[in-house]
Amino acid sequence: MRTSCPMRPMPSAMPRPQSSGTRRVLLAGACCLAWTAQVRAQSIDYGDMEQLFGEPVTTSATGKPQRASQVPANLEIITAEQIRRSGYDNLPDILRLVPGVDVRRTGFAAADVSVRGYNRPSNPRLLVLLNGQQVYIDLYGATPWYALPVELGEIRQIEVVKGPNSALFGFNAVSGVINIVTYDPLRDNASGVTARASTQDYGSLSAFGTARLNDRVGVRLSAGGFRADDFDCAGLDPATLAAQVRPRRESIAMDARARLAPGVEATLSGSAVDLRTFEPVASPYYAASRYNTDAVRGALSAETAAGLLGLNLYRNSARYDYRSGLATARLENTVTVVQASDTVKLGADHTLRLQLEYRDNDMVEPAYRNRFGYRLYAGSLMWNWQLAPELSLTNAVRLDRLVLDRSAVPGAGDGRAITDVSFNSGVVWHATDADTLRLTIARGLESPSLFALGTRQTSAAAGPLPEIRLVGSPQLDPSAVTHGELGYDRRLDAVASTLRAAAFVQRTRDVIADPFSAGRSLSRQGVLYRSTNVGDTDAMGGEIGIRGAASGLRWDASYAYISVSDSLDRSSRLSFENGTPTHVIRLGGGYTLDRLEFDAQAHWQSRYRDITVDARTTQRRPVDVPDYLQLDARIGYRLTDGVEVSLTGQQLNTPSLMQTAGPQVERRVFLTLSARF
Amino acid sequence: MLGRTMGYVGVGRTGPVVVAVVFMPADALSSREAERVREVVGDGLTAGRIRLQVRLVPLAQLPELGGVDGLYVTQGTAGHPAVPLAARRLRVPTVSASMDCVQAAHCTVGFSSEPTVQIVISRNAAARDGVEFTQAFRMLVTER
Repeated sequence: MRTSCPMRPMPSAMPRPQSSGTRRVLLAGACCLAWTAQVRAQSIDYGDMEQLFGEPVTTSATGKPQRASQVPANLEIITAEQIRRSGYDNLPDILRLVPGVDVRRTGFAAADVSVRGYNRPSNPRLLVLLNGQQVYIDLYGATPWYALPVELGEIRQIEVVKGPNSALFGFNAVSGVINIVTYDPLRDNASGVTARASTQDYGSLSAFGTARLNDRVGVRLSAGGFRADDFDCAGLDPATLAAQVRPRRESIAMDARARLAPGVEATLSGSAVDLRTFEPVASPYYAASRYNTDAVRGALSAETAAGLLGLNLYRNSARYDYRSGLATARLENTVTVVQASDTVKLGADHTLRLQLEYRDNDMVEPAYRNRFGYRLYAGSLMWNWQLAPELSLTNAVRLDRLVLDRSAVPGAGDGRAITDVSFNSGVVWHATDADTLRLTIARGLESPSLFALGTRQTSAAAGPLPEIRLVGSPQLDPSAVTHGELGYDRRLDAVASTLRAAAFVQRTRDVIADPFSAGRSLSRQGVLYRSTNVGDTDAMGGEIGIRGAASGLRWDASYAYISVSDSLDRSSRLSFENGTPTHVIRLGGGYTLDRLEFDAQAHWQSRYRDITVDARTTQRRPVDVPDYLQLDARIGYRLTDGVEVSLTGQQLNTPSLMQTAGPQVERRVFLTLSARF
Repeated sequence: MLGRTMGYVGVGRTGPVVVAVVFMPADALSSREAERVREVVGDGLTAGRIRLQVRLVPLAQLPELGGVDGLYVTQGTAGHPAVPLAARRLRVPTVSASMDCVQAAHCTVGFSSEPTVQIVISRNAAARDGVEFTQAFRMLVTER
């Protein structure tokens, strides 16, 4: 890890009071010298910039490098240190630390994550990236969190942007963006091994390491996996239970970066993951899922007189097999993405970013001889204007044109095109040294998933069940989210803390219901479920939280509120206004005493209504999930400077907890042994 | 650590970075600040990608100064015309904890760390001294 500069990673997006002194100025000056054009280093060095500015640096809000406290968006950053101290062994549990993020655990290795409500199985409203490369799967537009090719130890920071950000990232960045940033093999020395064992017969091993072949080439390798027993699923019907599998994951990833010339860098990365789990996929139906994903990426960046030029090319492939009480099927997805960008500062006060994107997206359902896809062409422009030292204005606009491929799907044969615009606009005003106000408005777009657009699945009549057909609709429109937000940050030096508050209103038009959530129609052949747009939904809410640290103590507290009001077609099987918990409270605290660390988290949320389904009859019924409290704690002991042993308990207050309409979540206690070198 | 630091510095700057701490011997404040700098840096201080080394240089010796990568300007010397003259001759940035020095375009870069880190670049001074900064860095600081 980088230990040379005096500033440590910040626990939140806001800076905290800094120590003054000659040493600090000198280090800042020295870091600055490294950025002179004589040195011509590289584009973005997260670690060094964080050390220099005393707070994390991100490109997730506008595409331009910015200090976290200055972005025109509601941004939260989870640092590597927070990840380590949380004791959690998976991304959904870690993301729960962020106020406004809703996590529903539907199985041992299954969870759905949303930002500011609207959570549901295979939530399609969230864009998830790994070092800028999408890791959500376009089949359902959802993220299989346990199939991401990343080990927790190699994560530098997780950036969570709340609210639409389609003008920068395109479709699906409607409720938020999560960008996972890993250590840079060209600049960071970071290696480690972690082993865990716990209840549920769980065992995991994870390793990662960076190595520099010389001054110009660095490689990061990581691998990991686990096996476990799932939670007790006795409440599910026998047909569904018969499909259950033991959760199991194997993952391997490589990231190589080379400095080709002063200011010019190339990246080549690849990964492969095999995940087996038992989860509800895009509907309340539980199924044994198997994800085989692989990805390859090449990127080039260059510091030129015309700005920071970037070229990004990647190809993600996913093979998804599922087996439920109703059906067995395979879906395959291949997406190829080419992105070219230029980020340039003009004069003292203006930064422009131009990006062009091409995307070829393809879905195959081999058993149904169905192939469907689209090509997407997009262009975006971001303009950041520093009106005054304490005031900035950022505008971004993006035009997407999505052209459906010719295929056997009726209605798509004419190459239907969808053209739509998204935008983001934000003002950031540092009213005083301690107070920052943020006003943002945005229009985001959720594209229909490949499944919603083009699936053609048929389950033959069996026993009491009629033939069931799931049919996508190429005539679907994107769902548009209009969003307004006011944010306020205040540094509270007297208590070494930062206060953050935000209030938002949001309207979603043309909500997309895929065949799993659309209404059904009866025909002589059986039951037909066809994708459709089903109406609008409105939300309003906000979050308020405080976070601080001093003298070995750390604390945080937050409250999130959201109220959702639906205007959806009655035929739709979606219900967000009842399906979103209104109140969520989090309390956290920790203390470090020499080699000993203790951290604890409390999470309480109000009740909400979930949906369950009987696989034998396909009948759905609502289930009220009562409000619940979850207490987690971790105690760690540093054996040596690099070796640590810790004990983590999740849900210490109750052995089993109803968090969804699915199987109850069981208490977990696990031992972690980790070494960093 | 040293290798990593050098890798961060990049081609053309793979060794230590030497900064001249310019002070005025007759000015007690200036001398004290220069001494403080020397104490903190000692034999060298690793900061990000570089290994910082300092050399104390009286203001009067600036015209003969060579072999440094930057000038750290102490109090009392910031407004002296010898400083920008030396920076232009050496084509190196001048760094100061005094924002006034940057405002007046005598210095290239100014820092303050309270209550939060602020870095200000004088575009005029940078142009005069022939110093450029990377685009990413420019996007993160204030330019005047």
